[in-house]
Amino acid sequence: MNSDEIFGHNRAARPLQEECRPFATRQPPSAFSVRLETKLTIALCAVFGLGLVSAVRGEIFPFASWFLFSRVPQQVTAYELRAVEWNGAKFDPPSSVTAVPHLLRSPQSSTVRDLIQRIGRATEQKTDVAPALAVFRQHLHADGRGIFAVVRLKYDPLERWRTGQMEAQELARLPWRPAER
Amino acid sequence: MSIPWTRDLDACSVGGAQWLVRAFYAFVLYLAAQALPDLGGLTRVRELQEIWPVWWMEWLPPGQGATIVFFGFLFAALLGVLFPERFAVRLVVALALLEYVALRNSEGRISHSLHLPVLVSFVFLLLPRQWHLAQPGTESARQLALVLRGAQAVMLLTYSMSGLAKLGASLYELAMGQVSSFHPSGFQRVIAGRLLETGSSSPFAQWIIDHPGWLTWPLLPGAIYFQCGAVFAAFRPALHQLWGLLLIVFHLGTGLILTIHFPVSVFLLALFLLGSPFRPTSFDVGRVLTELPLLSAFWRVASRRMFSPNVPASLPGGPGSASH
Repeated sequence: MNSDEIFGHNRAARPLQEECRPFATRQPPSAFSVRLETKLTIALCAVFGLGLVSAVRGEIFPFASWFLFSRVPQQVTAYELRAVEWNGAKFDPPSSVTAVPHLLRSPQSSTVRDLIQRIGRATEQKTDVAPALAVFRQHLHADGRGIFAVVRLKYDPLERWRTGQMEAQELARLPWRPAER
Repeated sequence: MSIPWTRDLDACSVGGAQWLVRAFYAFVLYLAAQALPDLGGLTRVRELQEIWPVWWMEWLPPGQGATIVFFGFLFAALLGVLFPERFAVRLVVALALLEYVALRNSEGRISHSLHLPVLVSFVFLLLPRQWHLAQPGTESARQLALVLRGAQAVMLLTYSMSGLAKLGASLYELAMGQVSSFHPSGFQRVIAGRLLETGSSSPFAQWIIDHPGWLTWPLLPGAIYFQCGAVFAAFRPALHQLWGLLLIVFHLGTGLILTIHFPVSVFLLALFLLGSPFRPTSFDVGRVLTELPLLSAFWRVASRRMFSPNVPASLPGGPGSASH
């Protein structure tokens, strides 16, 4: 299979194009043009190749795998950070930090959402949760004192959407103190 | 397999190509100016998780590095509008844009909404000398056209990668007996998963989930088709406007339904594809059908059967053969 077949070149139209073509085939392309084509090919291969590497080993900015919403969610595992206490107020039952007024600067921010997932994963896998918590602190409306519960949720998205049904399990409680200055 | 860089290269309008390069640098300045209201937040003293282009900020007092990056970007973007013909200026713009986007993505999460301008700014480093003075039919015009095609190909390759990932994931899900993108409820699941994850809502999403899946079933497989075919469209000028429109509608749809917004990509698609200097002067449906990735084979067979005078009416495929 050659490139014309793959890229669907219309062979029937070719003779007319040859007649009209001002620079493409009448003179051989300059060495600069040939080098340019090589450089563009390398650029295209880099975007593709480093994108694939990004998919496996983590993103190599500014390249990306572009694997966005590739999977259809079947059974979802997600994490929630719930406030048990915050600056003297007690929440019974504990409430999601994104729903507590004046706790976060941008409760709907995707960065906050990703941070909560990182905190949840680190808690469940018992790895170092401190770096994610340090960045999470930057997103608080104002630093304070309280207790957060890390909760793991398991659900089928359509079922949860339609019936609200899901499985929630508390993994840990994190006491929170203002950062030392 | 070689990449058909020179295919229909002569279709490129040199004036249109020169205008497009200048418009891109004007857009970079717009990005810098648009960030001004965020300046306080960007330069605020805070803990960052610097990605590699801004690692040096660790060595500066808090907030100072971000100030340098932002004002450097603003200054470079101004230079870019004034002197886009100079390689050194284009290099400064590309590096400043890289730094700025890296800074914006150093808060613990990488968002992809600003990746395309960074990639295009680096492709534009390959523009030939005197591109701004190129005349039709010259070697300089050919090189300008090649670089623009490169920018279009790089942009569209990112969509093809996204489409291929969805296709691969769907085949895996089918093999595992799971709900895939090709299942009537696949799109509904994607929407429900996204909105539950973000806690957001959308009337369009609610409508799609509340109605039978087959009503909106073609949307996701359709998106996978034109995402996968995007990089091929880069080399087929007849498809530029159609693919530009499809991808823009795709972004508007994901914005309205999934609350995922890519306004920068919408602008670049409008600039590089709807306003493509390679686009034909008129929209020829027949030409578009013969150029469609994969599906063109069906059109070729169908048109051969419908229009070929050599096929007798009594033979399969000939006129009137369907009645027998």
